[in-house]
Amino acid sequence: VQNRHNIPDYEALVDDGKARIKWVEHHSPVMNSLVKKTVSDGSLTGKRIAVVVHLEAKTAFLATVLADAGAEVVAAGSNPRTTNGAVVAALRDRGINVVAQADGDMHSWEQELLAAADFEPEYIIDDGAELTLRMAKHRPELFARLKGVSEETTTGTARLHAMHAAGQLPFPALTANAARCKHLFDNRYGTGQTTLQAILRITNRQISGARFVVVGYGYVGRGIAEYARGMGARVGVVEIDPVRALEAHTDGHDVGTAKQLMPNAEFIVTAMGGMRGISRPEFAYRANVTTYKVGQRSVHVLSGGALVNIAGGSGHPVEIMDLTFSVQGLGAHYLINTAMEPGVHILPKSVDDSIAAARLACLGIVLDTVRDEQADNISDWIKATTS
Amino acid sequence: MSTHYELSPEEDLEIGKARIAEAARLMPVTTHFVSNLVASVNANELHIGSALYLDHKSAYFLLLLSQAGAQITVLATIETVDEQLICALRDAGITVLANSSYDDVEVVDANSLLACKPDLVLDEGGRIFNKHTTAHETWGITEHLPAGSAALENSLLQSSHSLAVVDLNNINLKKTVDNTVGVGQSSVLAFLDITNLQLGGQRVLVHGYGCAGRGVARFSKALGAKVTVVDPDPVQLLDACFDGYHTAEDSHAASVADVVFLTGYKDTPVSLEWLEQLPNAACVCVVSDGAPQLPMTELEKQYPGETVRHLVTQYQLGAGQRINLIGNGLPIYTVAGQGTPIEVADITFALQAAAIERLVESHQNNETGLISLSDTLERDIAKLKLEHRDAAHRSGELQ
Repeated sequence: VQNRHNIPDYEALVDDGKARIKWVEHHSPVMNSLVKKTVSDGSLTGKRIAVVVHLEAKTAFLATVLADAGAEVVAAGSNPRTTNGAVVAALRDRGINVVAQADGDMHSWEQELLAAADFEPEYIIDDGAELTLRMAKHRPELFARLKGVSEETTTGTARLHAMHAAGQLPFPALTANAARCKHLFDNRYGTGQTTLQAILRITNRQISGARFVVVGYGYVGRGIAEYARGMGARVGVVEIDPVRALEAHTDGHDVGTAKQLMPNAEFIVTAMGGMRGISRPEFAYRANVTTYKVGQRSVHVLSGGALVNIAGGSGHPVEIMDLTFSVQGLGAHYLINTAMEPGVHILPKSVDDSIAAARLACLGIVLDTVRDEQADNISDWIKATTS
Repeated sequence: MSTHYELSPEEDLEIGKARIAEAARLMPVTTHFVSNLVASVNANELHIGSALYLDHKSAYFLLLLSQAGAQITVLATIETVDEQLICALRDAGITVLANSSYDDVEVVDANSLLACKPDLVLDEGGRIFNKHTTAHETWGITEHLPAGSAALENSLLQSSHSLAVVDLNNINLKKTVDNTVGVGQSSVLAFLDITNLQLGGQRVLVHGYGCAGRGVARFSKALGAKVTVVDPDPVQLLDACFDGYHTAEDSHAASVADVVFLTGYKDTPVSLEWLEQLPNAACVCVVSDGAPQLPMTELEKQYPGETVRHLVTQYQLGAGQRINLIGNGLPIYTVAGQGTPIEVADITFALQAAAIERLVESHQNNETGLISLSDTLERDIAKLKLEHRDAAHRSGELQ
C-alpha cells in the first residue's frame, strides 16, 4: 500500500490527486447543484456506502459528495488496471476509506473487494456487480444484511437480473444503466469518444480511411461506430440481434459476420457487454499493447484486454460522468429513502428527467412546453363512442 | 513520450527497436521510395543531418537511410528526447546529438548539427536553415513545416543563397494528408486526452481555415462539436460556410467559445483583448507550429498562470473569468500526442526520400535556390499507398 512512508514525495502525489478531483468538480454542474442539494437532506448520515467503480478522479468526486453528505464511504476499484494512485492518496488524505491500490493485479483486486465487503456496507454503488457477487459468495452473512445496490453497467444489470431470477437477490437493486441520463450519454457518447481516443493514442494510427469493425450494436457499439465514421473510418458491424443489425445497416454501416468482416479490419472493438477471447501473449513490445500470433496474423490487444478507454485512456469525459454519477448519487439517495421490494428496479422517470433538466439549466438552454391545443383529442372520440 | 525510469538500457534498446519495427510495418511507401533513392544515388557518399521531431516514424526513415550506407547525424532536442529511440539509433551506428539542458536549445543544437558538416539537412521549422551561412558546408535542405516554409521563401527571395532547398510544405499531397488529416486528428484527440472533457455539444472556435483549420474543424464536428470558423479571408470563410460550419465575426465568436483552436492564419498572435472576451472555463489550444499564436509575455505579466492539471494552465482574466491554456501554448499534437499518425508519416517520409534524391541531382547540376519535385511524384505516392491498402485488404492481413 502506498503511503507517506514508502513514497518519496507523497505530498506531491496527494496534490496531484486533489488537482484531478478539483478539475472534475469544475466540470460537473449537475453534481454540484441538484445532487449535492438532494443528498444533503440528512438521510445519508451514518449510512455505510461502498463505491466500487473504476477508481479515478470522477469516481473520487462522487465518493467525496457522498461523504460530505454524511455517509461513511469506502472506495474500491472495479478493475485492477484502472485505479489511479494519486486519486487514492487524495481520498485517503480527506479521510475517506480506500481499500484499493494502483498497479494491482487480479489477486490483489480480489483482496480489495473482500476488504470492501468487510467494511460491512449497507449500500453498494457497484460496477459490473463485482462487489455484490463477491459478497454473495464469500461473505453471505454480510450479503444478507445489504439494503440496496445501485448498479452502473449493462453487464452488471444482467448479472443482477440473473441473481434475482435464481431467487438470490434479497434486497432492491437499482439499475443506473436503465436511466436514460446514463445509457443515452455514458454508453453511447462517453464510451464512443474515449474508446477512439484511447485506441488512437496507444497505436498512433490514422482513423481516416481505416476499416473499423465493431462487435455489438447496443448503445456502446453505436457510439463507437458513429464517431469512427465521423472521423472517416469505414465501419463494419457484427451483431446477432436482427433488429440491431438492421439498425446498423440503416445507419449506413456494413453489417456481416465476424468471418466476413474481421479479416479485413484494421481495428476491431468488442462492445457486446460480454466476455473473453484470444490466447497467450507472444511478446509485449510497447506500453498497453500485447501482440498475439493468431494463425498467420499478428493481433494486437490493447490495455491487456481491459476496457481500453479506462485502462488505456483517462476514462469517460467528465461531463458524461457528471450525468452518470448524478444517476448513481440520486439512486443511492432513492434507495435509502424509498421502501422497495427485492428485485431489480429502475430509477423513477422524474428523477431521471430532473438530471437532464439540471444540466440544460446549467447550459442556459430553455425548452418549450406543450400547449393545450397540441393534446390529442382522443378523449372526445372515446366520449362520443361510449355515450 | 513518458520516461521509463524502471527500464535498463538493454530494455530501452529492445523496446526502441520494436517501436521502430511497428512503424516500419505501416510505412511501405516510405520503404519503397527510400529504395528508389538508393538505386539512383550513392548513399555511401552522403552525410544527412536530421532536425526532425524524433519519433518512431522518423527513426525508421533515418534507420533506412543509414542501412543504405548514408552517414546520419540526428539532433534530438529536449522536448523530444526519447531514450528508447536514441538507444535504437545509436545501436545502428547513427550519431545522436541529444540535449541535456533547456538553455538555448535552438542556438546550441542548430549549430552543433551544422558543425558535424552534413551534406544535407532535413529541417523542421527553419531552425537549421536560419543558422546556415555560406561558411557552412551543408548544400541542401528539406523543410516540411509551414513555419519553415514561410521563413525560407522570404529568405531565398532576398539573398543569393548557396543552398538548394526543397519545400515539402508546398506540395498538395503533404498539405491534405499531413497538415489537414494528420494534424486534425492528432490535435483534436490530444485536446481530449489532456482535458478528459467531451466535445459533443461544445462550441468550438476554429481560428483560421487553412489546412490545419480544416482538419481540426472536421474532427471536432465528427465528435459532436458545434464548430464556428473565423478567417480574415472571405474566400476561405465562404468555403467553411459551404462545408457546413458556422461562420462569424472574430470578436463575437470568441465570446461564446468553449474551446478555441488557433491554427495560425496570420503571423501575429491574437491580442490580450481578444483573449479577454473568452467566457469562463474556455480552453485555448495552439495547433499551428508557426509564428506565436498567443501573447504569452503579456498574458503571463498581467495574469499569472496556475497549473491546474498536467499541461493545463489556468489564467484568471480581467472580468474574473478563468481560461485554460492547453499544452503550454505549444502545438498540442506534439506536446501531448505522438505527432501525426503512422500512415500519414508514411507519405511524408516518402516525399522526404524523393526530395533527397532530387537535391543530390540538383547538387550535381549546380542548381541552388528553391528546387521543385517531379510533377508526377504526388500521383506516384498516392497510387502506391492505395495499392498497399488494397493488397492488405485482399490478403486479409490484419495490419
